[in-house]
Amino acid sequence: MKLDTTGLESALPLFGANCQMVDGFTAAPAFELPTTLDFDGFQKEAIQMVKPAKGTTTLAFIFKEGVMVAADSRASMGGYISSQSVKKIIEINPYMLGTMAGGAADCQFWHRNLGIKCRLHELANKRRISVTGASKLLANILYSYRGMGLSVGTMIAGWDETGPGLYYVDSEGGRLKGPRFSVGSGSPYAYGVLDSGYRYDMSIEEAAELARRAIYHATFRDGASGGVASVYHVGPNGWKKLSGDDVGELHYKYYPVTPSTVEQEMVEVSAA
Amino acid sequence: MSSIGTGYDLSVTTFSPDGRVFQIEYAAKAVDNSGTVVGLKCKDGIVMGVEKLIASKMMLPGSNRRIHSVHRHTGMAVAGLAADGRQIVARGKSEATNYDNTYGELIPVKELAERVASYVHLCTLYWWLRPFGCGVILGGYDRDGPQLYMIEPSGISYRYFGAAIGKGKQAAKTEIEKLKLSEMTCREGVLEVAKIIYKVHDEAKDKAFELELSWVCDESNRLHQKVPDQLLEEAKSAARTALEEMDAD
Repeated sequence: MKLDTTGLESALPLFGANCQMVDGFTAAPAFELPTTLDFDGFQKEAIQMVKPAKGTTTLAFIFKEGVMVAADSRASMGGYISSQSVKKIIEINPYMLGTMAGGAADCQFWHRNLGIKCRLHELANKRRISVTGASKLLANILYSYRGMGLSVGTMIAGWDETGPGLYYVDSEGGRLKGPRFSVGSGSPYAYGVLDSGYRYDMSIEEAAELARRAIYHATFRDGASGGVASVYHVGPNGWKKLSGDDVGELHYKYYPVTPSTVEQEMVEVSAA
Repeated sequence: MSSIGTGYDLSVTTFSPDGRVFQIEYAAKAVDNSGTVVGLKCKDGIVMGVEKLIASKMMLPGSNRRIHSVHRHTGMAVAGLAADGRQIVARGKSEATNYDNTYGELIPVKELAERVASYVHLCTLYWWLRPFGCGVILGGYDRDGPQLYMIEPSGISYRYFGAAIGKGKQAAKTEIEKLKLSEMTCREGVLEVAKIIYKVHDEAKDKAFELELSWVCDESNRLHQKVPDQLLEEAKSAARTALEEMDAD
């Protein structure tokens, strides 16, 4: 639904003006509502179609050296793996990253839109937008499309004047600030590893290893996550991609094949 | 006295042959007829004071506030037509809340000043609107430190470290220039503002006045609020003694 702007209208009755001047800043982008008989049912159908699709594992956490962002790269349509090489970490601008969970097109489009807004803000105000501001811009847009079938579960991670910032924003209109988040079908598994191994003062290598391990374990148990575990780090000079390891190979790194003792050995029997 | 713009001063959408818009200048005169408003930027915050001329003895002291909080961290002191001022303050509040709802953080003072100034300017562009007959001193404290802006009826806004509008603005400005603001704390600034307002108040022309003071500084936790009553009394008595000392010369 459209944002409720009645509280924002200023008290002045511009004589003769049809409030075009006032509306400019209160309206969030929105298209016309569809004319349908069953508005609620129509929306439910759209949501049900998209709901199972948050098949992914993404995570991000703040630590001493900045923000660590990691994600898998599998795209699944029901039981079919449509791609093993999806870029789920979206580069909004050189110092801000967004993660993709839910509808790929929704995430890509709205993150790009957010990048545009951030750049315009930078040009107008001669300073970078804060992570708080960027996440609120995205959250407002998603809230205005609430119930219309967008599926976005994203984390906005960045470094601004106040230091490292991490927000979780979703298509229900929720926006949360926090030190650790994981989003997607594999998130319970990732949370287990992340929460137990987390310390605030880790080095960048330790934090990257923790993020990588958390993604690996999620892809191990969750069928909808897999592919490549990418790890990014956001520091005071912007983001940098640290690694992108195939989770199959990571498995053998964490659980190398040990030669097992044999009980009975089969011997070649000569043809008699 | 400035010249009368015969014929070219009937509408705000008419320029005079020498490039002036007389209606805006007349609006500025409305500001000059009101009580003095002084704003100071000290090293740890902003202090604003208003010489509130009391029209009638039956008015309740503390009513008819001329200094308003626009948001937690900014305040506006208004000089000129009071009703016009209320409209500008309402617009400022709306802009500040809107920014907060859009970006999730407090509006930078510079941004607020620009938005309010462009709104005041808007009303000088149409023949069916008259310009605002009030000037505003806007003071706030954001992540870039304390800032002081003055917005005139023409819609221009500049950043100042010391500003004054109203009846005694010339005298007030001379006093402000004597002060060393970069080394002054807001506590001292409050006393100085009170002294300036008492000094420029013309006993002969206007009888009674009420002093209204506000600040936004580190001591007030970067919130815009009325100066605490005890400090206000201290400031008033300091100002009165300073005045007596001067008279004694």
